[in-house]
Amino acid sequence: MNNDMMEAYLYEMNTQLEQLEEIVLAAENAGSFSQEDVNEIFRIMHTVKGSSAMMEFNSLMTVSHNIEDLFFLIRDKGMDVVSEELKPELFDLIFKSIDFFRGEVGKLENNEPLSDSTAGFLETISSFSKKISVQEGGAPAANDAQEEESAPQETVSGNCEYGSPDFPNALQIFFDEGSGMENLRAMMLVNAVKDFVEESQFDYYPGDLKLNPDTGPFIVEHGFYLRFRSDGEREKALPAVRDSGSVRSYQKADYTAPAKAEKKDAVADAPAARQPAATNDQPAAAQGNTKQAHGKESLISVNLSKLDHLMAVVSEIVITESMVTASPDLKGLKLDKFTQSARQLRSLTDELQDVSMSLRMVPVSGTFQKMRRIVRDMCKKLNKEATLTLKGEDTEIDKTIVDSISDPIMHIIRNSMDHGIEETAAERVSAGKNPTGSILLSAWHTGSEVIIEVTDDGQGVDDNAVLNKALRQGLAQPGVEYSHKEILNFLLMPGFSTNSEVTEFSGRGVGMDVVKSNVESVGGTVSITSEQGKGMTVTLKIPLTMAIMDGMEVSAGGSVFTVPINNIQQIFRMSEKDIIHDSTRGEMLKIMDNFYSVVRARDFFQLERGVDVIDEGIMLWVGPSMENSFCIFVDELIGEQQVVVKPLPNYINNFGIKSYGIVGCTILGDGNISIILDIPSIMAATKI
Amino acid sequence: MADEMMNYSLDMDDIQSALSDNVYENETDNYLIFRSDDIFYGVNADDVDEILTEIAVTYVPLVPTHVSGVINLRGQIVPIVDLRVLLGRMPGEDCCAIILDIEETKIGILVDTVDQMVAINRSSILPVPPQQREQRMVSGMCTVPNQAGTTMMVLDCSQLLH
Repeated sequence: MNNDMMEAYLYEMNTQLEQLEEIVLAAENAGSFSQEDVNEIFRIMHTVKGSSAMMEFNSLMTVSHNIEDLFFLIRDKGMDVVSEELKPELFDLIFKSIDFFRGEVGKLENNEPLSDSTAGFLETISSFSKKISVQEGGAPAANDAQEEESAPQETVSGNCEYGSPDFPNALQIFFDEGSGMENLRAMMLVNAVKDFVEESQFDYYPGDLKLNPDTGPFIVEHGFYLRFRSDGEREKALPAVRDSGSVRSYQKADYTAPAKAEKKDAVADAPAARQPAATNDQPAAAQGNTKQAHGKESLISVNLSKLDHLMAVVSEIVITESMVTASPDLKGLKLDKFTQSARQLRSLTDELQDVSMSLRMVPVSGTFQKMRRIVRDMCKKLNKEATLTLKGEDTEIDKTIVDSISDPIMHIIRNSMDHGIEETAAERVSAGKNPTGSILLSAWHTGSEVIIEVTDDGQGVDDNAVLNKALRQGLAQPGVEYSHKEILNFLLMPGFSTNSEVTEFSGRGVGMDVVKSNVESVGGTVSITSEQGKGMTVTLKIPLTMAIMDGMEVSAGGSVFTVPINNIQQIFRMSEKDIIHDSTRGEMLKIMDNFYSVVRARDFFQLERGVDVIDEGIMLWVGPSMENSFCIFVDELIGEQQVVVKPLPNYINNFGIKSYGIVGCTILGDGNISIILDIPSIMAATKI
Repeated sequence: MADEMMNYSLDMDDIQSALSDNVYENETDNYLIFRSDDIFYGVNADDVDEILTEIAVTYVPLVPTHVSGVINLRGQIVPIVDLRVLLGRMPGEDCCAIILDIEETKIGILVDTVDQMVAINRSSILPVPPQQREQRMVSGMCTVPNQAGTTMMVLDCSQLLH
């Protein structure tokens, strides 16, 4: 199957499903669907059905068709047709169908076969439809709606012939009975006819097949009209009509001049008649449609690897530009014009870099929205009440990073729901809190980082319980006094999970340590603050992008290394007498009332040369946080630079140097290579 | 010829297309002959990407000594292996690097001099005598035509990677 088409289909499905979920979540909060929601869901299901049919995914098509039918009913009869008791069932039904579609889309993405056992699911939908229909019999309001609907249809049928003076030779076409999706079939037929007859030589009625789902029923009743400029053109089109699989019958119908006056009425009447049929509940949907169409035009989806490539090329341009303008050949020359142009080139390349970076940035809203669903499902399962508030959803972050923080955030939220929010509302009330728990998920920018925070107002962390657990797990040493902060850090350690029983949501053998390692793998950090009884806050600090970072260039033994700036606490010159020695020839420094060990880059990296005298070199105090830091002794400070991170070749990585903090490299302005150091890895390597 | 090669980086495709006029049989392969510590080696020209002189190798700490480091090849980071050290000889004055493309992986080898490109009949490549099998990275040997007495060792490129 065509790959582009498949990709477009998957993209469309995912956006439609996201939109659908958003609507349903909002509606569930409000307790009911507004007319607008119903229209929108109807439209989404219609789109899903249409594109699934195009791709010949029958199971997807049938399910969406059934849901569409259900909402067709609701749309016509109004939301009142669903009684209060049935509403939760309706919400669940739609959530289930979203999950069904997601599952199938996931299978398609992984090239797995679609499941063909949709019968049970269809059963659920149709039994629900029946429940509604049964109820509707007794509801007088619904009867009114029905009358309203049938009246205009009669008017239309009375006017029969839909001719046009410009296209007098028509074909009236009827599709197979019960074939469904008549407007889509008509659309496909039109496309087929285009192969035989030039587009300007014919038109069709009804004309708004794509936008107006009501055309389906119209076609069933009155047929679909293909109208041609001449009889000859019509003859040409006949093979296309005959070959179309679903056409039951067709007949030629010519537009005749004498009937003109009458026809005019018909033409005038038809739109007028059609309007009311569509109007009452249509305007909102129509508006939604146009909005949707505009939104789509201004968006394209691009393969991420293309963006990666673009980013790589742009980085090269930036580097090459500085190689050209700082070329040693230009030394001593007076080049006013050149310098001027070079400056302009610099500002343009800077802009180019910014733009190409921004292409990779996506808002976190997609990830955040998913959490609503998690909270909803968990509320139901755990029988707790909690609301999720989102803040700063439009904060943008690199696409690859967004993907890798989705799971950690989900885990933290689950954790808050499971362990944070109190078991019963009564517990909350007696603690003087609102009976409904609240979880706040927020994101904001700070310079080169994005902060994502999950705050709940639950019971907070019980230090003693955590400490006891840590002792039992062998993470803590008995008899040692631990500070509140240290105790919280136990939560992030591997093998720690406070809940003794495994629940469906959290504690599946994984704990917060997975959050930590996932976040650290994208260069971020995790920290927890909590006050018992008040709640807990988990803060993720994530770099804006992994491709470009601020680095400090240092030299040691003739090699240039790049240390990420956000890992540098302080830089200073020390003197030999500041060094504290221990019995194992280890060296330490005392900075701000704490001792930190000193790692000499020359020794650590086994460099042949390098400065030995402390007074002559530079001391970097590095680490993700003050508590978690040490000092590196290097020869010289070269300067701060924005660098483009490049991986080292696999041949080099196979020697296992990653665990010694050599994680990548970057090309400097002069074309030389600098090795990028990963401070946490060096720290881990020196601990042994 | 050797002098010329040392001064420019040459595109191997040009050389090959120039040579292909002389090649009549399908049974022949083009080999690039180079010298490392007075021994002649040859690599299949299909595996050769380009020849570089004047390279700036960046030292990478904590890797085996035969890995000299990495170079910046037009924005691509390519590892460089010192063939002398890899083959257990003493490091010497290497003058140029041959960039190989093996199994889609680029890797450079430092050699003394690049000698010439020759077309060699496959059947003339003979096995290494069993007593000499200890020497690594060599998959066969052959006497270079048109050059009295020169014997070249065929370098087994895939062994470089593993």
